Amino acid sequence: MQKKELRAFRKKVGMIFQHFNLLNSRNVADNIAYPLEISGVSKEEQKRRVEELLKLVGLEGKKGAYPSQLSGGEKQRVGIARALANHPEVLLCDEATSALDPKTTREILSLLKQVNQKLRVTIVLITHEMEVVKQICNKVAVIEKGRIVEEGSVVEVFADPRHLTTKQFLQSASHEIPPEFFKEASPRIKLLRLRFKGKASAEPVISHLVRKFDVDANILLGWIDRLQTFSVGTLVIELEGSPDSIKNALSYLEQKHIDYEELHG
Amino acid sequence: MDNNLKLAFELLPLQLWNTIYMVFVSAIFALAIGLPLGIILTITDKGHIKEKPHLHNLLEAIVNIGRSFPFAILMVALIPFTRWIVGTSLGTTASIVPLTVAAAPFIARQVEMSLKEIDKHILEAVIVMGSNTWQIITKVMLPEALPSVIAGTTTTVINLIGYSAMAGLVGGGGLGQVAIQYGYNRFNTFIMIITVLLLIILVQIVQWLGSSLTHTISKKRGISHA
Repeated sequence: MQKKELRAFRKKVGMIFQHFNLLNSRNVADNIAYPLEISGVSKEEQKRRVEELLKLVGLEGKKGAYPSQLSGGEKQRVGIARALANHPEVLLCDEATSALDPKTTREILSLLKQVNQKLRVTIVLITHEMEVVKQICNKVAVIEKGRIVEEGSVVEVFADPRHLTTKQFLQSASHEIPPEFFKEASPRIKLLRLRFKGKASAEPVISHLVRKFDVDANILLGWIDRLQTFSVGTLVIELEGSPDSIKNALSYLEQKHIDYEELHG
Repeated sequence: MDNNLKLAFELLPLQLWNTIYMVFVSAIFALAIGLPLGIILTITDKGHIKEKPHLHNLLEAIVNIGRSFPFAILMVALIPFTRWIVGTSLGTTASIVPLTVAAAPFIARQVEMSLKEIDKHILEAVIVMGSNTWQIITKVMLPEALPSVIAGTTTTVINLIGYSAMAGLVGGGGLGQVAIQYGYNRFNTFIMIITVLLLIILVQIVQWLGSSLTHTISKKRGISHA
Protein backbone atom coordinates (compact mmCIF):
# COMPACT_ATOMS: atom_id res chain seq x y z
CA MET A 1 0.00 0.00 0.00
CA GLN A 2 1.26 3.46 -0.85
CA LYS A 3 1.86 5.87 2.01
CA LYS A 4 -0.94 8.12 0.90
CA GLU A 5 -3.39 5.25 0.56
CA LEU A 6 -2.32 3.94 3.94
CA ARG A 7 -2.99 7.33 5.52
CA ALA A 8 -6.40 7.50 3.85
CA PHE A 9 -7.18 3.98 5.04
CA ARG A 10 -6.10 4.80 8.57
CA LYS A 11 -8.67 7.57 8.70
CA LYS A 12 -11.35 4.90 8.18
CA VAL A 13 -10.13 2.92 11.16
CA GLY A 14 -10.57 4.34 14.65
CA MET A 15 -8.23 3.22 17.37
CA ILE A 16 -8.13 3.52 21.14
CA PHE A 17 -5.18 2.68 23.33
CA GLN A 18 -4.30 1.31 26.73
CA HIS A 19 -2.67 4.58 27.78
CA PHE A 20 -5.20 6.74 25.92
CA ASN A 21 -2.47 8.75 24.13
CA LEU A 22 -4.30 12.05 24.20
CA LEU A 23 -2.51 15.25 23.25
CA ASN A 24 -1.60 17.07 26.45
CA SER A 25 -1.45 20.34 24.57
CA ARG A 26 -5.12 20.18 23.61
CA ASN A 27 -8.28 20.25 25.66
CA VAL A 28 -10.98 17.59 25.34
CA ALA A 29 -12.83 19.27 22.46
CA ASP A 30 -9.62 19.91 20.51
CA ASN A 31 -8.40 16.37 21.07
CA ILE A 32 -11.62 15.04 19.59
CA ALA A 33 -11.34 17.51 16.73
CA TYR A 34 -7.81 16.41 15.81
CA PRO A 35 -8.72 13.66 13.32
CA LEU A 36 -11.26 16.01 11.72
CA GLU A 37 -8.64 18.74 11.48
CA ILE A 38 -6.14 16.54 9.68
CA SER A 39 -8.85 15.42 7.27
CA GLY A 40 -9.60 19.00 6.31
CA VAL A 41 -13.10 19.18 7.79
CA SER A 42 -14.40 22.75 8.07
CA LYS A 43 -14.30 24.53 11.44
CA GLU A 44 -18.11 24.66 11.77
CA GLU A 45 -18.45 21.00 10.88
CA GLN A 46 -15.71 20.13 13.38
CA LYS A 47 -17.56 21.99 16.10
CA ARG A 48 -20.85 20.30 15.31
CA ARG A 49 -19.29 16.84 15.23
CA VAL A 50 -17.36 17.42 18.47
CA GLU A 51 -20.58 18.39 20.28
CA GLU A 52 -22.25 15.26 18.96
CA LEU A 53 -19.38 13.05 20.12
CA LEU A 54 -19.13 14.71 23.53
CA LYS A 55 -22.78 13.88 24.03
CA LEU A 56 -22.29 10.31 22.86
CA VAL A 57 -19.51 9.62 25.36
CA GLY A 58 -21.11 11.66 28.14
CA LEU A 59 -18.47 14.36 28.51
CA GLU A 60 -20.47 17.49 27.67
CA GLY A 61 -19.30 19.21 30.83
CA LYS A 62 -15.62 18.52 30.28
CA LYS A 63 -14.98 19.92 26.82
CA GLY A 64 -12.57 22.60 28.07
CA ALA A 65 -10.59 20.32 30.39
CA TYR A 66 -7.07 19.16 29.57
CA PRO A 67 -6.14 15.45 29.69
CA SER A 68 -4.14 15.83 32.90
CA GLN A 69 -7.32 17.03 34.62
CA LEU A 70 -9.30 13.90 33.69
CA SER A 71 -9.67 10.48 35.30
CA GLY A 72 -8.65 7.35 33.43
CA GLY A 73 -12.22 6.54 32.45
CA GLU A 74 -12.79 10.07 31.19
CA LYS A 75 -9.58 9.95 29.19
CA GLN A 76 -10.70 6.74 27.52
CA ARG A 77 -14.06 8.35 26.70
CA VAL A 78 -12.18 11.14 24.98
CA GLY A 79 -10.15 8.46 23.20
CA ILE A 80 -13.33 6.77 22.00
CA ALA A 81 -14.86 10.04 20.85
CA ARG A 82 -11.66 10.91 18.99
CA ALA A 83 -11.53 7.48 17.37
CA LEU A 84 -15.13 7.80 16.17
CA ALA A 85 -14.77 11.35 14.82
CA ASN A 86 -14.18 10.37 11.21
CA HIS A 87 -17.02 7.81 11.11
CA PRO A 88 -14.74 4.77 11.03
CA GLU A 89 -15.99 1.39 9.90
CA VAL A 90 -13.84 -0.42 12.40
CA LEU A 91 -12.83 0.54 15.93
CA LEU A 92 -9.62 -1.08 17.13
CA CYS A 93 -9.24 -1.29 20.90
CA ASP A 94 -5.71 -2.09 21.96
CA GLU A 95 -5.92 -3.23 25.60
CA ALA A 96 -8.29 -0.31 26.03
CA THR A 97 -9.43 -1.25 29.51
CA SER A 98 -6.24 -2.79 30.88
CA ALA A 99 -5.23 0.39 32.70
CA LEU A 100 -8.65 0.94 34.23
CA ASP A 101 -10.25 -0.28 37.45
CA PRO A 102 -13.07 -2.88 37.22
CA LYS A 103 -15.90 -0.38 37.66
CA THR A 104 -14.55 1.98 35.02
CA THR A 105 -13.85 -1.00 32.78
CA ARG A 106 -17.53 -1.94 32.92
CA GLU A 107 -18.55 1.62 32.09
CA ILE A 108 -16.20 1.80 29.12
CA LEU A 109 -17.34 -1.61 27.90
CA SER A 110 -20.99 -0.63 28.02
CA LEU A 111 -20.10 2.51 26.07
CA LEU A 112 -18.34 0.37 23.48
CA LYS A 113 -21.33 -1.94 23.29
CA GLN A 114 -23.54 1.06 22.72
CA VAL A 115 -21.22 2.29 19.96
CA ASN A 116 -21.32 -1.11 18.36
CA GLN A 117 -25.10 -1.39 18.44
CA LYS A 118 -26.11 2.21 17.80
CA LEU A 119 -23.50 3.26 15.27
CA ARG A 120 -23.03 -0.19 13.72
CA VAL A 121 -19.27 0.07 14.10
CA THR A 122 -17.36 -3.20 14.14
CA ILE A 123 -15.19 -3.36 17.24
CA VAL A 124 -11.99 -5.35 17.32
CA LEU A 125 -10.88 -5.72 20.91
CA ILE A 126 -7.43 -6.85 21.86
CA THR A 127 -7.26 -7.91 25.48
CA HIS A 128 -5.90 -10.42 27.94
CA GLU A 129 -8.87 -9.89 30.24
CA MET A 130 -11.28 -12.78 29.74
CA GLU A 131 -13.98 -10.95 31.68
CA VAL A 132 -13.96 -8.28 29.00
CA VAL A 133 -14.40 -10.87 26.25
CA LYS A 134 -17.26 -12.50 28.14
CA GLN A 135 -18.99 -9.20 28.63
CA ILE A 136 -19.10 -7.72 25.19
CA CYS A 137 -17.65 -9.93 22.48
CA ASN A 138 -19.52 -11.99 19.93
CA LYS A 139 -16.55 -13.72 18.39
CA VAL A 140 -13.16 -14.49 19.79
CA ALA A 141 -9.81 -15.54 18.39
CA VAL A 142 -6.97 -16.66 20.63
CA ILE A 143 -3.62 -15.51 19.35
CA GLU A 144 -0.36 -16.99 20.49
CA LYS A 145 3.01 -15.89 19.14
CA GLY A 146 1.35 -14.06 16.27
CA ARG A 147 -0.81 -16.99 15.18
CA ILE A 148 -4.49 -17.61 15.67
CA VAL A 149 -4.64 -20.87 17.60
CA GLU A 150 -8.36 -20.97 18.16
CA GLU A 151 -11.38 -19.02 17.01
CA GLY A 152 -15.12 -19.12 17.05
CA SER A 153 -18.09 -17.59 18.78
CA VAL A 154 -17.46 -16.62 22.38
CA VAL A 155 -19.97 -19.21 23.56
CA GLU A 156 -18.31 -21.98 21.57
CA VAL A 157 -14.80 -21.16 22.61
CA PHE A 158 -15.52 -20.44 26.26
CA ALA A 159 -17.76 -23.45 26.72
CA ASP A 160 -15.42 -25.80 24.99
CA PRO A 161 -11.85 -24.50 24.78
CA ARG A 162 -9.62 -26.77 22.75
CA HIS A 163 -6.19 -25.21 22.66
CA LEU A 164 -4.01 -25.33 25.76
CA THR A 165 -3.47 -21.58 25.76
CA THR A 166 -7.20 -20.96 25.68
CA LYS A 167 -7.70 -23.36 28.56
CA GLN A 168 -5.01 -21.64 30.58
CA PHE A 169 -6.51 -18.25 29.88
CA LEU A 170 -9.94 -19.37 30.97
CA GLN A 171 -8.74 -20.96 34.15
CA SER A 172 -8.64 -17.84 36.21
CA ALA A 173 -6.76 -17.67 39.47
CA SER A 174 -9.83 -18.07 41.68
CA HIS A 175 -10.75 -21.29 39.91
CA GLU A 176 -7.44 -22.97 40.43
CA ILE A 177 -7.47 -26.39 42.01
CA PRO A 178 -4.97 -26.79 44.86
CA PRO A 179 -2.23 -29.25 43.87
CA GLU A 180 -2.90 -31.62 46.79
CA PHE A 181 -6.11 -32.72 45.04
CA PHE A 182 -4.12 -34.29 42.28
CA LYS A 183 -3.47 -37.53 44.12
CA GLU A 184 -1.49 -40.29 42.62
CA ALA A 185 -3.28 -41.78 39.66
CA SER A 186 -5.62 -44.48 40.77
CA PRO A 187 -8.25 -46.36 38.81
CA ARG A 188 -10.64 -45.88 41.75
CA ILE A 189 -10.48 -42.09 41.99
CA LYS A 190 -10.85 -39.71 39.12
CA LEU A 191 -10.71 -35.93 39.13
CA LEU A 192 -13.10 -34.57 36.51
CA ARG A 193 -14.06 -31.21 35.13
CA LEU A 194 -17.61 -31.18 33.78
CA ARG A 195 -19.08 -28.52 31.55
CA PHE A 196 -22.81 -27.92 31.41
CA LYS A 197 -24.07 -25.92 28.50
CA GLY A 198 -27.53 -24.47 28.18
CA LYS A 199 -30.26 -26.95 29.20
CA ALA A 200 -27.96 -29.47 30.81
CA SER A 201 -27.32 -27.02 33.61
CA ALA A 202 -30.88 -27.55 34.82
CA GLU A 203 -30.65 -31.35 35.24
CA PRO A 204 -29.45 -32.88 38.53
CA VAL A 205 -26.87 -35.00 36.75
CA ILE A 206 -24.60 -35.58 39.71
CA SER A 207 -27.27 -37.00 41.96
CA HIS A 208 -28.45 -39.26 39.13
CA LEU A 209 -24.89 -40.40 38.73
CA VAL A 210 -24.52 -41.29 42.39
CA ARG A 211 -27.86 -43.07 42.58
CA LYS A 212 -27.61 -44.98 39.33
CA PHE A 213 -24.02 -46.15 39.57
CA ASP A 214 -22.08 -47.27 42.54
CA VAL A 215 -19.92 -44.16 42.78
CA ASP A 216 -19.34 -41.33 45.21
CA ALA A 217 -19.06 -37.81 43.96
CA ASN A 218 -17.22 -35.17 45.90
CA ILE A 219 -17.80 -31.65 44.58
CA LEU A 220 -14.67 -29.57 44.81
CA LEU A 221 -15.45 -26.49 42.80
CA GLY A 222 -18.30 -25.09 40.77
CA TRP A 223 -19.18 -21.90 38.98
CA ILE A 224 -21.32 -20.48 36.21
CA ASP A 225 -20.00 -18.22 33.45
CA ARG A 226 -22.49 -15.91 31.88
CA LEU A 227 -21.62 -15.30 28.24
CA GLN A 228 -23.90 -12.55 27.00
CA THR A 229 -27.20 -14.49 26.84
CA PHE A 230 -25.81 -17.96 27.38
CA SER A 231 -24.61 -19.70 30.53
CA VAL A 232 -21.95 -22.32 30.97
CA GLY A 233 -21.61 -24.19 34.23
CA THR A 234 -18.38 -25.79 35.31
CA LEU A 235 -18.04 -28.38 38.05
CA VAL A 236 -14.91 -30.01 39.32
CA ILE A 237 -15.66 -33.30 41.07
CA GLU A 238 -13.87 -36.28 42.47
CA LEU A 239 -15.46 -39.55 41.41
CA GLU A 240 -14.73 -42.59 43.53
CA GLY A 241 -15.77 -46.16 42.87
CA SER A 242 -14.77 -49.40 41.20
CA PRO A 243 -13.18 -48.99 37.74
CA ASP A 244 -16.25 -50.52 36.14
CA SER A 245 -18.77 -48.28 37.81
CA ILE A 246 -16.64 -45.25 37.00
CA LYS A 247 -16.59 -46.33 33.38
CA ASN A 248 -20.36 -46.65 33.35
CA ALA A 249 -20.71 -43.29 35.02
CA LEU A 250 -18.55 -41.67 32.35
CA SER A 251 -20.53 -43.16 29.50
CA TYR A 252 -23.68 -41.87 31.18
CA LEU A 253 -22.19 -38.39 31.08
CA GLU A 254 -21.49 -38.78 27.39
CA GLN A 255 -25.07 -39.86 26.85
CA LYS A 256 -26.24 -36.69 28.55
CA HIS A 257 -23.95 -34.63 26.27
CA ILE A 258 -21.95 -33.31 29.13
CA ASP A 259 -18.37 -32.52 28.29
CA TYR A 260 -15.96 -33.91 30.79
CA GLU A 261 -12.27 -33.82 31.06
CA GLU A 262 -10.00 -35.78 33.34
CA LEU A 263 -7.65 -33.61 35.29
CA HIS A 264 -4.13 -34.61 36.05
CA GLY A 265 -1.62 -32.85 38.25
CA MET B 1 30.77 61.02 41.37
CA ASP B 2 28.69 63.55 39.46
CA ASN B 3 30.89 63.11 36.43
CA ASN B 4 30.52 59.36 36.66
CA LEU B 5 26.77 59.65 36.89
CA LYS B 6 26.74 61.91 33.87
CA LEU B 7 28.96 59.51 31.97
CA ALA B 8 26.72 56.62 32.95
CA PHE B 9 23.65 58.41 31.64
CA GLU B 10 25.44 59.25 28.41
CA LEU B 11 26.80 55.76 27.77
CA LEU B 12 24.57 53.19 29.29
CA PRO B 13 21.11 53.72 27.78
CA LEU B 14 22.48 53.45 24.25
CA GLN B 15 24.76 50.50 25.05
CA LEU B 16 22.02 48.73 26.97
CA TRP B 17 19.85 49.12 23.91
CA ASN B 18 22.70 47.80 21.73
CA THR B 19 23.00 44.71 23.93
CA ILE B 20 19.27 44.10 23.79
CA TYR B 21 19.28 44.60 20.04
CA MET B 22 22.20 42.20 19.49
CA VAL B 23 20.79 39.55 21.77
CA PHE B 24 17.25 39.60 20.48
CA VAL B 25 17.99 39.86 16.80
CA SER B 26 20.53 37.04 17.02
CA ALA B 27 18.10 34.99 19.14
CA ILE B 28 15.46 35.33 16.43
CA PHE B 29 17.92 34.32 13.70
CA ALA B 30 19.24 31.48 15.84
CA LEU B 31 15.70 30.27 16.44
CA ALA B 32 14.95 30.50 12.71
CA ILE B 33 17.92 28.23 12.02
CA GLY B 34 17.96 26.12 15.19
CA LEU B 35 14.29 25.22 15.37
CA PRO B 36 14.06 23.56 11.93
CA LEU B 37 17.47 22.03 12.49
CA GLY B 38 16.34 20.55 15.81
CA ILE B 39 13.15 19.24 14.25
CA ILE B 40 14.99 17.60 11.37
CA LEU B 41 17.56 16.21 13.77
CA THR B 42 14.75 14.62 15.78
CA ILE B 43 12.59 13.17 13.04
CA THR B 44 15.50 11.74 11.03
CA ASP B 45 16.78 9.85 14.05
CA LYS B 46 16.49 6.09 14.27
CA GLY B 47 12.95 4.95 15.02
CA HIS B 48 11.41 8.35 14.47
CA ILE B 49 8.87 9.43 11.89
CA LYS B 50 11.28 10.16 9.01
CA GLU B 51 14.29 7.97 9.67
CA LYS B 52 17.24 9.13 7.52
CA PRO B 53 20.55 8.00 9.05
CA HIS B 54 22.88 9.87 6.66
CA LEU B 55 21.17 13.22 6.97
CA HIS B 56 20.89 12.71 10.70
CA ASN B 57 24.58 11.97 11.12
CA LEU B 58 25.55 14.94 8.97
CA LEU B 59 23.42 17.35 10.98
CA GLU B 60 24.59 15.75 14.19
CA ALA B 61 28.20 16.46 13.18
CA ILE B 62 27.41 20.06 12.21
CA VAL B 63 25.67 20.74 15.49
CA ASN B 64 28.48 19.17 17.49
CA ILE B 65 31.15 21.13 15.67
CA GLY B 66 29.15 24.32 16.12
CA ARG B 67 28.81 23.70 19.80
CA SER B 68 32.44 22.79 20.42
CA PHE B 69 33.79 26.23 19.43
CA PRO B 70 34.46 28.53 22.37
CA PHE B 71 32.65 31.74 21.54
CA ALA B 72 35.78 33.92 21.61
CA ILE B 73 37.41 31.74 18.94
CA LEU B 74 34.26 31.41 16.87
CA MET B 75 33.94 35.18 16.78
CA VAL B 76 37.46 35.64 15.44
CA ALA B 77 37.22 32.71 13.05
CA LEU B 78 34.03 34.12 11.57
CA ILE B 79 35.44 37.61 10.86
CA PRO B 80 35.74 37.03 7.08
CA PHE B 81 32.26 35.54 6.94
CA THR B 82 30.87 38.45 8.97
CA ARG B 83 32.58 40.95 6.66
CA TRP B 84 31.09 39.19 3.68
CA ILE B 85 27.59 39.36 5.10
CA VAL B 86 27.49 42.71 6.94
CA GLY B 87 30.37 44.52 5.24
CA THR B 88 32.27 45.05 8.48
CA SER B 89 33.32 42.97 11.45
CA LEU B 90 32.94 45.82 13.93
CA GLY B 91 29.85 47.11 15.69
CA THR B 92 26.62 45.79 16.98
CA THR B 93 25.12 44.59 13.73
CA ALA B 94 28.28 42.70 12.86
CA SER B 95 28.16 40.93 16.24
CA ILE B 96 24.84 39.43 15.33
CA VAL B 97 26.52 37.06 12.88
CA PRO B 98 28.78 35.18 15.32
CA LEU B 99 26.11 35.32 18.01
CA THR B 100 23.64 33.66 15.67
CA VAL B 101 26.13 31.03 14.57
CA ALA B 102 26.97 30.27 18.19
CA ALA B 103 23.38 30.03 19.39
CA ALA B 104 21.78 28.14 16.49
CA PRO B 105 23.32 24.71 17.20
CA PHE B 106 22.60 25.24 20.87
CA ILE B 107 18.93 25.84 20.12
CA ALA B 108 18.87 22.91 17.72
CA ARG B 109 20.08 20.60 20.45
CA GLN B 110 17.65 21.95 23.00
CA VAL B 111 14.74 21.66 20.59
CA GLU B 112 15.79 18.08 19.85
CA MET B 113 15.89 17.27 23.55
CA SER B 114 12.46 18.80 24.10
CA LEU B 115 10.94 16.96 21.15
CA LYS B 116 12.38 13.64 22.27
CA GLU B 117 10.63 13.98 25.61
CA ILE B 118 7.27 13.54 23.90
CA ASP B 119 5.71 10.19 24.70
CA LYS B 120 6.30 7.87 21.72
CA HIS B 121 2.80 6.44 22.15
CA ILE B 122 1.28 9.82 21.40
CA LEU B 123 3.15 9.98 18.10
CA GLU B 124 2.09 6.42 17.36
CA ALA B 125 -1.51 7.41 18.00
CA VAL B 126 -1.47 10.37 15.63
CA ILE B 127 0.28 8.28 12.98
CA VAL B 128 -2.41 5.61 13.07
CA MET B 129 -4.98 8.38 12.80
CA GLY B 130 -3.50 9.16 9.40
CA SER B 131 -1.50 12.35 10.10
CA ASN B 132 1.20 13.33 7.61
CA THR B 133 4.65 14.43 8.71
CA TRP B 134 3.91 18.16 8.52
CA GLN B 135 0.78 17.70 10.64
CA ILE B 136 2.68 15.65 13.19
CA ILE B 137 5.35 18.36 13.51
CA THR B 138 3.09 21.40 13.60
CA LYS B 139 -0.01 20.06 15.31
CA VAL B 140 1.52 17.56 17.68
CA MET B 141 5.26 17.73 18.32
CA LEU B 142 5.72 21.49 18.62
CA PRO B 143 2.60 22.17 20.71
CA GLU B 144 3.37 19.21 22.99
CA ALA B 145 6.95 20.36 23.52
CA LEU B 146 6.18 24.08 23.67
CA PRO B 147 6.83 24.71 27.39
CA SER B 148 10.09 22.82 27.18
CA VAL B 149 11.16 24.62 23.98
CA ILE B 150 10.46 27.98 25.62
CA ALA B 151 12.49 27.00 28.68
CA GLY B 152 15.39 25.97 26.44
CA THR B 153 15.19 29.14 24.39
CA THR B 154 15.28 31.21 27.58
CA THR B 155 18.54 29.54 28.56
CA THR B 156 19.93 30.27 25.11
CA VAL B 157 18.96 33.94 25.28
CA ILE B 158 20.71 34.22 28.65
CA ASN B 159 23.79 32.59 27.16
CA LEU B 160 23.58 35.12 24.34
CA ILE B 161 23.66 37.98 26.84
CA GLY B 162 26.95 36.55 28.13
CA TYR B 163 28.29 36.08 24.60
CA SER B 164 27.24 39.59 23.60
CA ALA B 165 29.32 41.00 26.45
CA MET B 166 32.24 39.03 25.10
CA ALA B 167 31.61 40.43 21.64
CA GLY B 168 31.74 43.87 23.19
CA LEU B 169 35.28 43.20 24.34
CA VAL B 170 36.46 43.15 20.74
CA GLY B 171 34.52 46.08 19.38
CA GLY B 172 31.07 44.62 19.19
CA GLY B 173 29.40 47.39 21.13
CA GLY B 174 26.93 46.98 23.96
CA LEU B 175 27.46 46.71 27.69
CA GLY B 176 30.54 44.50 27.27
CA GLN B 177 32.33 47.29 25.45
CA VAL B 178 31.47 49.78 28.22
CA ALA B 179 32.80 47.37 30.80
CA ILE B 180 36.15 46.94 29.05
CA GLN B 181 36.66 50.53 27.90
CA TYR B 182 35.53 52.43 30.96
CA GLY B 183 35.41 49.91 33.74
CA TYR B 184 38.63 48.03 33.00
CA ASN B 185 40.89 50.27 30.90
CA ARG B 186 40.03 53.46 32.79
CA PHE B 187 39.59 51.85 36.21
CA ASN B 188 36.12 53.30 36.56
CA THR B 189 34.65 51.06 39.24
CA PHE B 190 31.35 52.92 39.31
CA ILE B 191 30.67 52.35 35.61
CA MET B 192 31.80 48.74 36.01
CA ILE B 193 29.35 48.11 38.83
CA ILE B 194 26.45 49.75 37.02
CA THR B 195 27.21 47.73 33.88
CA VAL B 196 27.28 44.49 35.81
CA LEU B 197 24.04 45.41 37.58
CA LEU B 198 22.36 46.13 34.25
CA LEU B 199 23.45 42.74 32.93
CA ILE B 200 22.15 41.03 36.02
CA ILE B 201 18.80 42.80 35.72
CA LEU B 202 18.61 41.91 32.03
CA VAL B 203 19.22 38.24 32.77
CA GLN B 204 16.64 38.30 35.56
CA ILE B 205 14.01 39.83 33.32
CA VAL B 206 14.62 37.32 30.52
CA GLN B 207 14.50 34.41 32.95
CA TRP B 208 11.35 35.74 34.56
CA LEU B 209 9.65 36.17 31.19
CA GLY B 210 10.65 32.69 30.05
CA SER B 211 9.63 31.04 33.31
CA SER B 212 6.28 32.74 33.55
CA LEU B 213 5.46 31.87 29.94
CA THR B 214 6.36 28.22 30.56
CA HIS B 215 4.43 28.25 33.79
CA THR B 216 1.32 29.82 32.24
CA ILE B 217 1.18 27.23 29.47
CA SER B 218 1.77 24.32 31.84
CA LYS B 219 -0.82 25.59 34.25
CA LYS B 220 -3.38 25.94 31.50
CA ARG B 221 -2.71 22.33 30.57
CA GLY B 222 -3.10 21.30 34.20
CA ILE B 223 0.52 20.25 34.60
CA SER B 224 2.02 21.59 37.81
CA HIS B 225 5.70 20.90 37.15
CA ALA B 226 7.37 21.69 33.86
